[in-house]
Amino acid sequence: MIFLIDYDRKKGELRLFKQFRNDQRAEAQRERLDIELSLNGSRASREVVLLEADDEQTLHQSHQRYFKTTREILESMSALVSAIP
Amino acid sequence: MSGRGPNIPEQDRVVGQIAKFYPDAQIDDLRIEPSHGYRAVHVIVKVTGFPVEIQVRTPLQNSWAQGTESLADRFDPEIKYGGGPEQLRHVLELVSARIGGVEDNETSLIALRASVPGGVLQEEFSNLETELLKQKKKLHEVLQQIMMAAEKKV
Repeated sequence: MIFLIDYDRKKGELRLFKQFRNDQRAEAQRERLDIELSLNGSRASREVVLLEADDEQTLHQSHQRYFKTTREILESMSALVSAIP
Repeated sequence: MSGRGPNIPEQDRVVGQIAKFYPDAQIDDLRIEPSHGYRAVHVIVKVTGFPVEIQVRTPLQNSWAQGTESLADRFDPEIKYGGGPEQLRHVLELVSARIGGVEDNETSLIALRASVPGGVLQEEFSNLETELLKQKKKLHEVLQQIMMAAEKKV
């Protein structure tokens, strides 16, 4: 799967999350470029990226910061530590 | 890597598999010399002539990286490169070092348990477990402190 993400780093806000099939790569790239162009120089705090992952759950694990608050990430780190035998 | 399962031996195994697939792979082990606390193994391979960096992390290493990114957004992007508020940077490096210690001890325990028959080296096991517990407790405390600091900065 391909995922288009528009993330506001300053606000910690996910502005857009869109999913594409692997055969829609060109469409995903076009949309990403459109957003980049629309931001035209004002995107200092924005991250517009295309990511590939097997599924959404995998993406939530590998790129937690787009989906979780700082506190939630630190809490999951605590949970990982606790799970160590 | 996801879930609690993958640990240092699993990370080494994945890196080995990639290196086997790409014999010219360049391996940068950031567990030995972390970059401002960042721990991972980076494997740089050539794909159709272009260099591609594959970042292999355990779940704990990944959480640290994600948490630091998030804190960098909140406090100062320079945190990732050795700048920003000194106290926060220091705490993040401390957490990273603790994670390194916990993962190293976990690795030692796994190796010892696999190599000796039951009933042997019980004292050594017990010492390692005590040390691991201490490190885990300390890590929890430091994480609580960071959470409180992050909460204040809303």
